[in-house]
Amino acid sequence: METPGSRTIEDIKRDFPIFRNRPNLAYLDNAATSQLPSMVLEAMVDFEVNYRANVHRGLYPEAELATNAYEAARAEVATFINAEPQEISFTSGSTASLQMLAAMLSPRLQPGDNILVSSMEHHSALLPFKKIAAERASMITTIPHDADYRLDLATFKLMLSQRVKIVVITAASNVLGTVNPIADIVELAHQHGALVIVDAAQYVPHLPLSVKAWGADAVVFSAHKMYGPLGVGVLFIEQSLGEQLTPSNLGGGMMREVTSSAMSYEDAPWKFESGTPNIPGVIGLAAACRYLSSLGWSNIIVREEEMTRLLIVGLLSLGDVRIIGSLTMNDRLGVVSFTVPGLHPHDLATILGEQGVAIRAGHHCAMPLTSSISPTGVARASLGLYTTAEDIARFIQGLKAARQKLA
Amino acid sequence: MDSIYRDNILEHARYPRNFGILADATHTARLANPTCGDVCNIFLKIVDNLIIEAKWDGHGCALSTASASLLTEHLTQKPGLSRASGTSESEFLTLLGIEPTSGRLDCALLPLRALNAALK
Repeated sequence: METPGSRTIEDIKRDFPIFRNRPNLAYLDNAATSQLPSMVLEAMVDFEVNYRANVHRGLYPEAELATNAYEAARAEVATFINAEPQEISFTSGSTASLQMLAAMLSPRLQPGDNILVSSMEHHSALLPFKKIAAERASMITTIPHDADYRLDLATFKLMLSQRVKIVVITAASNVLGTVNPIADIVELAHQHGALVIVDAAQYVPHLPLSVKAWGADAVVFSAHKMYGPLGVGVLFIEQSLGEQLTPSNLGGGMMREVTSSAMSYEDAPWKFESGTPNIPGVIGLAAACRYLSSLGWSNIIVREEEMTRLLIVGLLSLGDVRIIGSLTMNDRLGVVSFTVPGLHPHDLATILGEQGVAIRAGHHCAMPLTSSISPTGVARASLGLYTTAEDIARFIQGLKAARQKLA
Repeated sequence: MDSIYRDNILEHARYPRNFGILADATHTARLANPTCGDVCNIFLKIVDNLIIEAKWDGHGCALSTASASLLTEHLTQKPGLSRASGTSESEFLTLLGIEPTSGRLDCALLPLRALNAALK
């Protein structure tokens, strides 16, 4: 699949129709959502116009095609993250996946048990587990980060005990860009019998993922941050855990038998998919996996590292900008948050937006982290496959102009 | 695309008018926008149902700062403005002379909402 160097950045940019329609857009908000390549859109349209039908129900050819495409997508997504198809459930996104996990794991918690979460969790990972901790009289404790914005593994080790039942950890921070050592974290947590839930939403568009190499019990991510459609996500649950869990969301499509007095569930993963799924979304997600694979991970990594370096060096060249994240390139994504003394992040983002440069400003749904850095939040530029040196130059120019305007 | 950072907005953001505390305020309110860290305290001196003096303090983006400055200038340039006359959000946006995008509307309207809270 890998064809190193065969596709230029211009070729890649042409894959994304938005850049034809908005040629002046320097899109640096990929951590919020990425753009959609034509082939993903075409796969979804193909379903809508050629074989639209519900899955797992109809006995006519179109329904058969839809079911086959849906289950083939499950197999493709499984291969993409080195999992088994029965370990992959489709949801509406990472947020829904995490809510389901929290609800399904809640009955396992006893009073006095502990849930560990990292200091860099997104609200979607933090809040459902805070909720179940409160409901079950359990504790929730934060694993701190160090001065280089990396997880403090020494403190994490101290925090582990038999009372720790769940560890919730992001594979890559949506604010700091920090990539966490998931395999090490899982190994340590498993020594104490804790389950590890990994939020891979930021990780999966930028680095190849092997859930088997991580050894995690559950992993979630969203299609829309990895060049796929909005409104669809993945819930990976390791097979033996998946067999044990009782579904939290009930409805059609997930029951084996329902009588007036009893009910029995389908096997995993179907028992986790109640109601009609987002079929075109799932088909689009599989197409996005194919798209990423076709580019080759080594090409993606080399290009994105180069652009991350340009971005960080460009910000540092402004002198007074504070980068909120590691300045080393190891285990770091091109998600770069920063503050400029005296300038409010919302003003920066608005002025850059007026110049066709899209960045994000605020708390990035990680308020415990960002408000500890700055009460006004931080500005964030985040790269994608299609980010060019010109995009970054325009961003830096725009920042200079904003600083001049507001100073 | 028209910039919301027009010269008068930038000028008020740089040199905000009526910034400070009003020691003998009769009406005050504090409003914050936790999502962006903006805070606006409004201080009013109201005598016989008329606004005699208006001041503000707090911190925020250029837009909310300029907005607080322009609002208190509006209130104090017409001494004796009836507290009952009030100012609607659309009237206030006309006064600002800009059309903030939906994402920035809360910044622009924070001081007005603080004023309305103080008048309640």
